[in-house]
Amino acid sequence: MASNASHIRNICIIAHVDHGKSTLADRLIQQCNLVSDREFRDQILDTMDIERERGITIKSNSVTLPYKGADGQDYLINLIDTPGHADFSYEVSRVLASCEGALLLVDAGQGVQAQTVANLFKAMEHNLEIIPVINKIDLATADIEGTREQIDEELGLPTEDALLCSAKTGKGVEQILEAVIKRIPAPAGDLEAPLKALVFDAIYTPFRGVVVGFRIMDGTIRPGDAIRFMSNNVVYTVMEVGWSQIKQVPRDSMSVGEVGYLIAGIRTLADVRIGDTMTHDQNPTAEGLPGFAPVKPMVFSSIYPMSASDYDDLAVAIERYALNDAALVYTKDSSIGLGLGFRCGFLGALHLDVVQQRIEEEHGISLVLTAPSVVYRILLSNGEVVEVDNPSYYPDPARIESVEEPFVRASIITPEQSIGAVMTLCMNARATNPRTHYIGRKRLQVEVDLPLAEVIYHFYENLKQITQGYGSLDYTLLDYRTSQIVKLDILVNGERLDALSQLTHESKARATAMYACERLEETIPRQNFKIALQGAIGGTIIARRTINALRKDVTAKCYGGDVSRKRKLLEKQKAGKKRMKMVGQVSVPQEAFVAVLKAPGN
Amino acid sequence: MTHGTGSDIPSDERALGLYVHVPFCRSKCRYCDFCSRPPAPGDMDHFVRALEAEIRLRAADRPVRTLYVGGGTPSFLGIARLIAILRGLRSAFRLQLDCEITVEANPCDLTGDWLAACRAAGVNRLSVGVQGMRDEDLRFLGRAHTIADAVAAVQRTRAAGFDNLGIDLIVGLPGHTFGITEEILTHAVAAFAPEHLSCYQLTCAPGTALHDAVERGEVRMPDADTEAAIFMTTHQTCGGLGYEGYEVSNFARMKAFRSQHNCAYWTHRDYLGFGPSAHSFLNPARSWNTTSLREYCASLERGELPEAGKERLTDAQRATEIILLGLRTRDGFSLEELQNACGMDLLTEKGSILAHAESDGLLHRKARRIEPTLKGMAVADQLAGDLAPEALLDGGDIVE
Repeated sequence: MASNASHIRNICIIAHVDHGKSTLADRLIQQCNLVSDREFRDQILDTMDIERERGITIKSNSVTLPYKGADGQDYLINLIDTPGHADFSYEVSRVLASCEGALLLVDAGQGVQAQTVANLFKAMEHNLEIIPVINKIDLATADIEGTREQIDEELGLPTEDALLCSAKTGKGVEQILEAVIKRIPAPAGDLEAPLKALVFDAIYTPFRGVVVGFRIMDGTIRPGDAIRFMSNNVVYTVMEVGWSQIKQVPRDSMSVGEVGYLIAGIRTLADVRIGDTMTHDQNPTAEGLPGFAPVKPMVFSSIYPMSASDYDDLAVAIERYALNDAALVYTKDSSIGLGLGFRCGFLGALHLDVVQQRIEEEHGISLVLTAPSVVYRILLSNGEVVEVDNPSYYPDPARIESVEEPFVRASIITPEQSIGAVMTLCMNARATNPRTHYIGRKRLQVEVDLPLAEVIYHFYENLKQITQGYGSLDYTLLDYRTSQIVKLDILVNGERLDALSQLTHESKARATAMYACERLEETIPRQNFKIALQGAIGGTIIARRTINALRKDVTAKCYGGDVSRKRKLLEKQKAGKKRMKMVGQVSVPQEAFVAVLKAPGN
Repeated sequence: MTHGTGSDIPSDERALGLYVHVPFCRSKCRYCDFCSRPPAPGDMDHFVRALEAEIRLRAADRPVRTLYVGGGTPSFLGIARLIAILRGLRSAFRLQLDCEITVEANPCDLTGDWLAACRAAGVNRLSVGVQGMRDEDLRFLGRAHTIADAVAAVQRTRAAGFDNLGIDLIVGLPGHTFGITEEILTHAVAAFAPEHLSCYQLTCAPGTALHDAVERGEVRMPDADTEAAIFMTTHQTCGGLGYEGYEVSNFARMKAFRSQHNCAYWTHRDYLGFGPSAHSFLNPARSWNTTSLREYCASLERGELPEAGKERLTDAQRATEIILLGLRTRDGFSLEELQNACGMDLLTEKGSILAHAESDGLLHRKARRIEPTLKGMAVADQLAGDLAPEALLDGGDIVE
């Protein structure tokens, strides 16, 4: 099949989580007979277990679909799958930049959601041709007319353009493919110009090294070419290029408009940055593609193994995980209570979740994570500005002029009946500048400015809970604002537990401190003396609990049959005590740290 | 250096304690986690036959200073079976003339005939399961008798000539205050004038009906501070009434009325146990019988000991047991014994812990002994953990 740009269509699917993106992708793949029914499995593009399990795509992935149109012509439709969460909005934007059109998928039962809106606007910024698709029309709860209205009123798209489909049953899939070749423009670009290809994905594989996902904007690429990554000027020789058709299909050359994979013996993901431009080393293009930005972690937390003996395994696990996730940054860390671990930077709260879950599940290591922190900007009295994401490096308050914290603009869509609870949630999260308006008859969109620190702290879970799962959230980083940030320390008989220190807003400090003291009260065993548990900001105590001295622990009976059982208990107790951390005179079990760091219930 | 087993007397001349476990009762009390249940028809005779076989298997030419028949409810067994058991033990061991022979009994079983037959068979000490001094407490505990039943039973016991009587009580029931505890103890002493009192704080053991009720939230056990207050009150009240608290839960009107048999456990002496779940200890070897009556009888029918497991204590384990048992008793433990038995020089190894504990008022360091104070006895479990040798964590050989 000739690769002719006029017969190429590059599309992505944008949708809210659960609106059926992966299922639609599956149907499109089957409709084009790319895999036999025997080889087919659900969510075929989601390569990671966690993606299948959670229904969230966290990596971009592409597939080249051969399609014979109703006009009798052969087309190649490149479908690029996008990550489905706000944490990965940069990756999404790079995929959008690789496409000419998008299928905007809306669940006929749930209607337009926050991510649908956010992603639509992003797609429009990239001048993509949008085809609205109403999915799940086979559901009993489907409200096709209502969804049409939402597409018209909330998204401002012409409803007569909307297609109907059931990705589950396959109904309407043929019409979608026809609409793609008719309505979405073929890629433009200059075949004769120097190579200019956009990197939208990179995956590390043990045998072939890094596999780069790219879209050619200008020029041609062939095996044997010396190509240069423009952001860091590293040069590799192309070993193989080709189409991703579930399996890799090598090509002799690829040119303008094509989407595919590249292998060049690249051993480290660090060399390949999402959004970078590839060009020929000898005949480079003058300028890289716009929109490139190096990844910048937004959320930091220290990760410790639950059992100190797992530290070496954790080190291996993190190193291995990072092979395939250039967004994760990490350095060694240690704390009095939790021993050796790693300080890690993540794109956001979901990214943190994903990393934690994959390390725990794939390597069988239980982890403890410290309270996540954002990056604070601290203006010192000498005029210097420092960025701090770790309470351990918080400067002496006497030297601090002011502190700024990152804010996001959040968009929340909620059913009408939950608006009160949503407003309360936002207010408790220190929201400012709220604007509310109806979208459709029974739903509202709330736009607010929120400190990122609040968004990463169970905000999404709480939103889901108070809206019975119907609320949705999207956010983008806005700016840094001056804020009353304090460093909260937790003390046990006057000794600081470093793993429990955190940077927090002044208004939250007391409740946070009280929560920590109460959990410690429940988990630190009584000892021969009274134990004071305190939350402190500098020298000021803002919360206090007391563990009374142990006055009696002796069991009532100890006769012939009880002696060895008693001794074994004591052996256990002694072994347990050995694992406790001595904080001053107080033995603190690791469970105490874990209890404080576990998410508080609502 | 080799370590003896605490005495220069040859092992076959060292006195033994004997314990017989009767695994039957009329009905299971809600707090009870002992190996005991109402018997099926034929169970009792089957058990006694097996028990006689076990006695023959364990027979040894050693002097016996104490014999204790517990359970379960031995008095429920019927006098003929009890006498058969005593006869078996007398033929298999050398019971000393002054051997303390105790039988546990429920008030309802103490008839004139039973008491007379017991006396005649040489039983010289009774431990009566009175348990509560308020009818509401007896109902809560699931006991079959009333206070009036208990008073009448003890009167019959005295009339039968028993002059060494122990009464078992349970304190610290849900809702008990230290005032109620004081009342209960005063009332018990006035009603029975016993030579010995065992006052157990109610324990909520997994697997009991009480534990289920607590899990379901129907019963709320006293909190740690109330428990501690009741413990102190129990000791102070008993002390005031003339009973010395010589162990965590045990009180005697005179030193002579201490339970000799139980003291043997607490001073790490040798004992043999018979019946399901019974433990035997021939320092440094310990073994335990199966808790299943069926397996117990079956093993003995095959002529095998019904043991479910055994262990051989390491020096560190023996030292630990001497410490943990000793700290439960007013007499504490002997430093010399610790040194002889296990080569542990406590004063050197744990000097600073001992000094701290003494200044906290938990124990006294005497020339050759460590004696806990009442405050120390109350935290004996933690104290024992602190004083136990570090080598304890190296473990010993346990064969299950």
